[in-house]
Amino acid sequence: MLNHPLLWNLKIVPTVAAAIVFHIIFFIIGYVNGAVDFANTPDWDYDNNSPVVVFFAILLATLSIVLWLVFYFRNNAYKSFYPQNKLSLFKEWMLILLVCVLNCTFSASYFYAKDLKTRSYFNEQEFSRRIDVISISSLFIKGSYKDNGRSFEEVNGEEEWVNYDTFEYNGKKYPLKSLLNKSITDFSYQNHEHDSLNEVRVKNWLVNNQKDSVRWVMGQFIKIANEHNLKSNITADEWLSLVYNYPKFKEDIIIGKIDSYKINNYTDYEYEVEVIDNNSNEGPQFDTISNTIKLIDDVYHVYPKHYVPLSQIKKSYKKISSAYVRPDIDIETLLFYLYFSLCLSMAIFSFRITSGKSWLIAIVATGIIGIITGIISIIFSWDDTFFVTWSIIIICLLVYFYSNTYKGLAKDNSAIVLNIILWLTLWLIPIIYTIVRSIYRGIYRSYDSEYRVINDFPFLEWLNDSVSLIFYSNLILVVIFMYFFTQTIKKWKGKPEA
Amino acid sequence: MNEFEKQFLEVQDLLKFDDYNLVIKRLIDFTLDTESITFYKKTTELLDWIDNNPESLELKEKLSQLLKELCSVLVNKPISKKKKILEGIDIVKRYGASSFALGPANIKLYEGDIIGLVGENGNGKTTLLRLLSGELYATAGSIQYDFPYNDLYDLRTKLVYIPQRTDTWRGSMFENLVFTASSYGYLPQEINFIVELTIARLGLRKFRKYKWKDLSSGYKMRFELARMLLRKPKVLLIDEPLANLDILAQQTVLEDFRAIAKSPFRPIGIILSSQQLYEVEKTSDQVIFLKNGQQKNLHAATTDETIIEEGSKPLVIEFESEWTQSMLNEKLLSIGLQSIQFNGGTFIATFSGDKTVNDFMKTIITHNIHIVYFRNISNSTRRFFVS
Repeated sequence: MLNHPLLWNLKIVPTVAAAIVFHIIFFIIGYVNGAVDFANTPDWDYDNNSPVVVFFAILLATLSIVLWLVFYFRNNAYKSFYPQNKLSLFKEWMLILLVCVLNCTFSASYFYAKDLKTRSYFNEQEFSRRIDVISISSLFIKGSYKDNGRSFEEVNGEEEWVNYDTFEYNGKKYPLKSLLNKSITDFSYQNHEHDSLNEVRVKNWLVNNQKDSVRWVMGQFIKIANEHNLKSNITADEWLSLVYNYPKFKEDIIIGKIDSYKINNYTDYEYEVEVIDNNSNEGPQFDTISNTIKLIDDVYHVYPKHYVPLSQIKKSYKKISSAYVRPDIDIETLLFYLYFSLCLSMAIFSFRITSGKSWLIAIVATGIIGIITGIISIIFSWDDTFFVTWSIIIICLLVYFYSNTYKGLAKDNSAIVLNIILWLTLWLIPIIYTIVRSIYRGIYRSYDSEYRVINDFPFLEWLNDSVSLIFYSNLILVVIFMYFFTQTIKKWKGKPEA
Repeated sequence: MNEFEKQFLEVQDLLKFDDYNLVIKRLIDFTLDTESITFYKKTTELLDWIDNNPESLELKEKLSQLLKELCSVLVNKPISKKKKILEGIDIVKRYGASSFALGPANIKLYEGDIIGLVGENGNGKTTLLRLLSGELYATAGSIQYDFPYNDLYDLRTKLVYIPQRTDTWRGSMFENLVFTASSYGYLPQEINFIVELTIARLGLRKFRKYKWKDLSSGYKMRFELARMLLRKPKVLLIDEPLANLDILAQQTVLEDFRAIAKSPFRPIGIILSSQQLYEVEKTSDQVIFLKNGQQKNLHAATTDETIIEEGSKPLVIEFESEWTQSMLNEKLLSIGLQSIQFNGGTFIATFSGDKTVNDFMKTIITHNIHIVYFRNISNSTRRFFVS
């Protein structure tokens, strides 16, 4: 305190220390919660913990910030006209921002750790190899057929359903129940091209009778299953002999993807039903060649005669895949946290350097202007009226404030304007970005987001692809703006009140 | 004999008559004047010792010893020359649609001087203080500050304005003062000593850990003064500092103002407003009376350097008597009574300028006029209130 009154006033050391401790706690909870249970096969896999953690993160952040504000608001060197150097206010705002970011990102630590743990089981290369193995192996496990043997065709001048029992693959005919009529399981980690290549690869093995390759991939699958202590009741060799029917690859025996599952007449869609006879009204019928069925208390218990644990593996590897492809914390979600913290820091800072009264009036004034601009934009029926109006308002407020500070006799109502400037100026660049993009879309009327032709609209493409870039750049610009603006605020403070 | 030597002799006299409280206050002033951490430590240790040995017979000896040491250091310290620090020329302030306007007012403040602002409520005292503190801008006229400052914010750091209703301090009093001191760039190793000494100077030692809400109005004012002292202002502008203070506290606070303003080494200019005419007049170097925004000075300034009394003025006596106005008029005419007014329980009698208080007293005794009290207000702004 004796050396750094600002740091003491902000209680920065205990506040940051407490926030770091909370982050570590949330990180640990996330890391524990991110563990993948490879043996788990719940039909309904819903993350119950995250909403609770987010609730507590918000609650804790609110309590921490309120407590911090109680101590922070005890002293105010700026309002008391204690000497300040030209960067004091800027430093103060940056420290407020730091406290806000730290307190508003508890849940981010949780989600980041959760994904980190989920991804931590294998390195990325190994994970990619494994999902290739799982994808390819899935062709030899129970799954739907691409061609269902029915098509709507014109027969004798009339369109009607036509049934057939073969399909064509690479110029050759195969029975509908051929492995070549199936798709492989895909994972979001791999793109469509990669999935297609895997499917083509395995089907080429079949067409070219590369039995060893199929044997190898099945062996790898069983090895993965064993590694996760998941049961199979067949070996790779048995599996191969059951499904490898060269040259037509008709699936006489279906390999189950789990050891058992249940079906009842009132079941929900999550259960897997294999109805053999579509015309039967006597309840579900089963493939009893591949399965053993038991009816217990009106519930059918289905036990595949041969199975490998694809269900469990698929579920857990999809979870890992999601952690790679759609992590909860990525560059876009981080933006949300940062902008929320930035807005909060501006709200606190503006309150700090003006007064509660002008702060409240500014809220009301902003609300009223918002309603008026909303009505105007509805009247003009032009999408961008709202944004254009607001950008003009922000620029006018900035001009008014600077002119008041450097030329006006007294502050008058400029404290209210200062509040609004601090809240809204950070949105000026994003608003201008939105307007420019909209104008360019208007110019390129032929532009259609569904069928983009990059070479024709390079600037528009750049605008569309640069949302994150624009928002992150805006953060830097806001910091630069505040560097200069806080010096103006200090000058403004010295002016007479009236 | 310079100002310090005069003050030193005063303190020696106080010590001779065992007025230890005042001696300690002045010792603290001298200690702060030394700007030496060695003396800060010594005096703080002495204060701690006094707390632990309140009735000790060694006290006089210890105080005397410290006083000598302080004198040996301060006697050679250069004394700053009295400089003008503020001048308001024809200041006018009008408030929009309101009919009230202050001014034109002229005011000159020198380092070490106290100016009292008196006048009825709503006559512009607070407006004038706020104008001088930079809180309001002057509609016309100008205010010049004769000390360097970078911008308006910097200027306002050097002008301490304490309004009548001060903001609540949050947290402990001691912490607040340490924060002020650290914000004003005192050396970290001296801050605690300086705050302790300032607190002791204003008789607040036992209140340093108190909360704002637990303090009486008088002590709140003293804490404001303690903070002000730490801020080393060029000018102190203070609105109604005596309001809510008992008569003893009023005298103590005014005496503190005097000592603070007249410091030989760290003089500051003080402008204060008050309703306590006689107390303010005793303490102030100049008194400005404001009525409907118009200014009347108790003393007329003739040059920049000297302030002299106005010329011959009528004798004005305020007194309280059970006699009626006409009975008094009859008896007092014999000594040149010009007018007699009944003014809220007291009589204001005006005589020609050649009469003295003694003439008035003689007449009272001769005619056996029964009076409760009387006061010569010829040189008091009191006469502005009644005329």
